[in-house]
Amino acid sequence: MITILCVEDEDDIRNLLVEEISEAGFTTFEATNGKQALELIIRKWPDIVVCDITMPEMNGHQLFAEIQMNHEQLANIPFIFLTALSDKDNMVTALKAGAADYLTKPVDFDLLMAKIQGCVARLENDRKMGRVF
Amino acid sequence: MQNRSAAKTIDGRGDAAGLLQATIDNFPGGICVLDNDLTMLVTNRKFYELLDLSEDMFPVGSNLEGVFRYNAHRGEYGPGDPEEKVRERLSHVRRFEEHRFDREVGTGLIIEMRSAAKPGGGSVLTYLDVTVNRRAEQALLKHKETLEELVLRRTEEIERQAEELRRLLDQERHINELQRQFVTMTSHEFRTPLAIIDGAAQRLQRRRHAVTSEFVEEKAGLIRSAVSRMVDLMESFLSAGRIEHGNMTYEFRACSLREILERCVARQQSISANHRFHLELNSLPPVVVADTVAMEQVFTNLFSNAVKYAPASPDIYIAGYSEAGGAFVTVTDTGVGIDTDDLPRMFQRYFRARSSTGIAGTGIGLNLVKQIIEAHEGNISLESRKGHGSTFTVSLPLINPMLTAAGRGEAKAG
Repeated sequence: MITILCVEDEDDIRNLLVEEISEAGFTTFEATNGKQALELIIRKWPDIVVCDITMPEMNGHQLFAEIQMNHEQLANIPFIFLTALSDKDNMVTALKAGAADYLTKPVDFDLLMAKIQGCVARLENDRKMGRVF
Repeated sequence: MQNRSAAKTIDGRGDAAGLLQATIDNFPGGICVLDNDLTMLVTNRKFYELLDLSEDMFPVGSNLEGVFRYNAHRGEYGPGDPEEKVRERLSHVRRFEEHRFDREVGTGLIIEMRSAAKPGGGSVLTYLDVTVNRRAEQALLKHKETLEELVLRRTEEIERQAEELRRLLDQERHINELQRQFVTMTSHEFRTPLAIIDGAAQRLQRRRHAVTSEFVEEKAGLIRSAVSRMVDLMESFLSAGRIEHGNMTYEFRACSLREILERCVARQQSISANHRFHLELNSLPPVVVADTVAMEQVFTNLFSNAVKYAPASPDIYIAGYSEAGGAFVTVTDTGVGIDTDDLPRMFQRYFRARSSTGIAGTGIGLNLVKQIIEAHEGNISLESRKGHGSTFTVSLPLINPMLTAAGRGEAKAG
């Protein structure tokens, strides 16, 4: 069973995402900011993280950097950023840091699901090849 | 001159005294040789000329004291008791020491006076006209000072200009940065409700064959509240633009502040299910004079800020009371609060406090609120502690002076 963490401070957006993703057959967890997300990632070890950037407490960039720097064993979890920040600077920052993808809101759910399926395919391939983390 | 017989000549040829006189007469300076009782033994023409003395009055053999007295009395040594001046000079010259000084004499010439001890007592006084040299030196000095002052002034001016340029550049950079952030955040602010609308619409499409009326109702509700969020946002931008261009018009009329506050709270509550609004409005005056639409904008902004900047602290306190001829409303949250350094700039357009990092916003809301309140002759103030939350206090006068001034219940801000 593939598990996906949705990190999003806007309740309405998070609810829609969770609805869409869980309807596609994935198990979902939710966090409303980077700090909550970090705890959940450590505790639940999700397969994929769909993550907003502009959030209180700890934003998406900070969360991703924290995992890359201080949680090596979790650093391979693919992050798909989903944000209303459409400027190049934020996109470059996220992709350079190693994000799996960067999508801007409003997002086409077909596109979002395709990105998630792509991550799932890679994960399953890794597992088949014995590269299990 | 080792020999005491004044001057020597080769093989005794010529008259030694005559040659000496010829020599000293043709010396370009004045000479006066004194005995140890200050009797003038030898003088030359230049001596009398430079000191403006008559040889007849002070011939060789007379005493220098006479010259001193004569000079003192004709004011050569400056104001004061002439006899005192004479005594000073006598005691000085009697030391027969080497000395050198300049004196401007009555004729306007500057004379360099030197004294050298004469072997066997007495002294040799020499006088040189250094007027041209000294005047040149003075002029040079003055010129140098003027130049130095000029250079100093120019340097200061250039430094001042550089400083001003730096300041303007910093300001420009700061404004550019604020505007860049503003554009980024404005796009973010519009995209967020659009994402809700689009997401809800996509969810409706996906379930089109198996949709329940509850599902439609829920998604339509999301769409509608996102649309009203966009309308509020747009209204804020439009009002900010109107205020900036002096085109904002207000319709002042008697209205119930309590009703305005309750409407705004209800609206905010419907989109912030996790927050609790605690209202204490019983001591509000029943009527204030205000523009209802603008007032709703003010409180919508303050309430949505309270929610936005207190994501983890659900309690928002709103109190209304009247005091000293004014109606007061305080809006208190227990959220992220504001750094003390940021407080003075909170009502500046586009400014966003450091503690707002990670929380979406454009930086126009509080500026708009302040402008509207001030157009009502009211006031807004702010108290905050980083990490403990903020309290905004709005005060409105009970009798609006603009209403009286405009007479028609309409006034233009500008």
